[in-house]
Amino acid sequence: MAQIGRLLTAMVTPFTPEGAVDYAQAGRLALALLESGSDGVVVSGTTGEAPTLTTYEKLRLFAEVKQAVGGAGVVIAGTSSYNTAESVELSQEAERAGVDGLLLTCPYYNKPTQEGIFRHFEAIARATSLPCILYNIPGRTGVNITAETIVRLSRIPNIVGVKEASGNMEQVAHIVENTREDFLVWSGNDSDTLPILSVGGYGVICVVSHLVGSQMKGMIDDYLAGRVDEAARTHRSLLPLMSILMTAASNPIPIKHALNGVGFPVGGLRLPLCEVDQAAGEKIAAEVKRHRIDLPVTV
Amino acid sequence: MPQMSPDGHKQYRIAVVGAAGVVGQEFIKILLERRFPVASLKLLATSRSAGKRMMVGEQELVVEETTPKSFEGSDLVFISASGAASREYCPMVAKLGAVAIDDSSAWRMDPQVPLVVPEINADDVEWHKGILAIPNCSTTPIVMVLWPLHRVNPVKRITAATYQSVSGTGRLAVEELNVQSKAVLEGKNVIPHVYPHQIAFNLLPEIDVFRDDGYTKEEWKMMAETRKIMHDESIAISATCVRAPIFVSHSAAVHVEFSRPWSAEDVRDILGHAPGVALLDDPSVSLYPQPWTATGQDDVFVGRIRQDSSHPNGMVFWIVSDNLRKGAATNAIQIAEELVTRNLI
Repeated sequence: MAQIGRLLTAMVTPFTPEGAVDYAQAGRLALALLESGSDGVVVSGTTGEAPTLTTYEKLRLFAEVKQAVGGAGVVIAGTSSYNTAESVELSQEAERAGVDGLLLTCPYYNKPTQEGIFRHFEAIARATSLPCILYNIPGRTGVNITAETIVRLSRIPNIVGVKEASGNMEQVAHIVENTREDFLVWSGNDSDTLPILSVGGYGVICVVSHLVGSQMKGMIDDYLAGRVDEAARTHRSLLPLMSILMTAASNPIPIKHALNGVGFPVGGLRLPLCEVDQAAGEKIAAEVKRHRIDLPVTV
Repeated sequence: MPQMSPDGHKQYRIAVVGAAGVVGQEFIKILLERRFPVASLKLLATSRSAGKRMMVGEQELVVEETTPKSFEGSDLVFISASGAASREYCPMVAKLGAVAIDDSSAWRMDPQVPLVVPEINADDVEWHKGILAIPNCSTTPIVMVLWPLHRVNPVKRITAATYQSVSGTGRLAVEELNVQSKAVLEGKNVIPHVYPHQIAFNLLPEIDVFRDDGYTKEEWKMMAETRKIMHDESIAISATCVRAPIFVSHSAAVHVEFSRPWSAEDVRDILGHAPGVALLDDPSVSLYPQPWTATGQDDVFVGRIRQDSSHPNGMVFWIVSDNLRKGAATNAIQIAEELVTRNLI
């Protein structure tokens, strides 16, 4: 099994001016992200506008991004929805498309019980040989995967970790404490990266790393090397940028605006998401300007 | 054990079984072309060809008769001979700790033997136990084209009709087509030797032996091998394999049902940058693959891509490839290269 790595970027999906998926640009973006510090990319997550991609578009993104990246980094596919049977099928198809792992969101909107959540993830994990990362984001799904359920799921060998965006450090600590040694916790909130590392977490599945991957990587490396003050300084300096990407409008609206602004065209958004208004756009651009931005890098 | 070249690279002691045959000749040619790290080369054949002298690069080599002792001191053995010969020799090679890459159908469906097209399932070389097989020369081009599509829109059902050249049968069949063609043009009688009927100016829907279910073994091979290489037992596939009076390169009309509807544009876009596949598809200038122009090339050529008017998820292809190169020798040497890269010899 490929080492998944600590810094993964939850990649936006580039669209052409006509609104079709731009597969070639997706490949270039993945390579640029690896070049600027990411260990891998998550394709077709919510940041990648998965809800408005067709199954065919998702599978083609998986195959084309993996082909572009080769052995240079891992490609993790977002394959879970609020329908277990469909999630199983898409996960198996993603495996055939050649991805290195799966990111499995908690079923949203239909509010399953903890037992239902357990069985949902169990069904997917057992249907694939790929490493699976659970994704807990109660603010978007409407239901928390409790620490107990995550601990229970961690006993399934190919469930290798969880992306935690509950913001609850007590829950994160409980997971780290009660799961096997190699069960990993990635932060699902950019701004929780350092706090989660500090309680024994592993890394981050990140949005801001589209722009400042090398600084995010530096922050993680500093923390792991014991340069905690330096890591905290980076954290504080990046905080306003992390914050504006989540608050100017719903993710991924601001990050797409920012990428287009720095000269890495990723196109527009598919409805129901739409472009930021002018005031928000200017606020994003002003904040981006205050930082050392990695992209566009030539690859 | 592989030898070390003066500049510190591993070099391999190679034997070719069937060296006098059409595929054997390609093995030797392509080993040189691709600069495979050869420490020594031994040419083996049946007693009929033993003693024959052949130029390999600058060097003249003498073909030796294959015996159980022939494989001692070899690291890598390419075999393109009869199924019976492969059944006998491959285990001998494996037992000596060397690696056999076999072109016959003898081992392809053995669960202990990887059946490999490197662009598709290179990882399968990892579990080899001394024998690896290459697919039948009519299977390889079809899976080469379908695999990059299958990854993004899984194949449900394949119907194929092939037009296969006589070099797939061997050197004697090439001579037979030559002799018969001249005879027909001169108004003389034709007596078939290699095939049950005249092959010149004719088509024979019989390749390999007939099975009880009415398919030929060639057709069955295509069906079974496709599923094994693509790791998908659920693919439904039916083929008619036809021998055509063509010297080199196999062609096939292939009708495929995918899981979801898509456009010919999408398909062309993907095949346009699929490794080892060349797209020749522009009806406005009569651009499409042909056996005459595919010969001598390593790419698998595809064209005439169009939506199947009989099925919403259907797509139709015309696929052509040199049966001696990607269909046989090139594929075998790519497998050897994969073994070298992964340090598995």
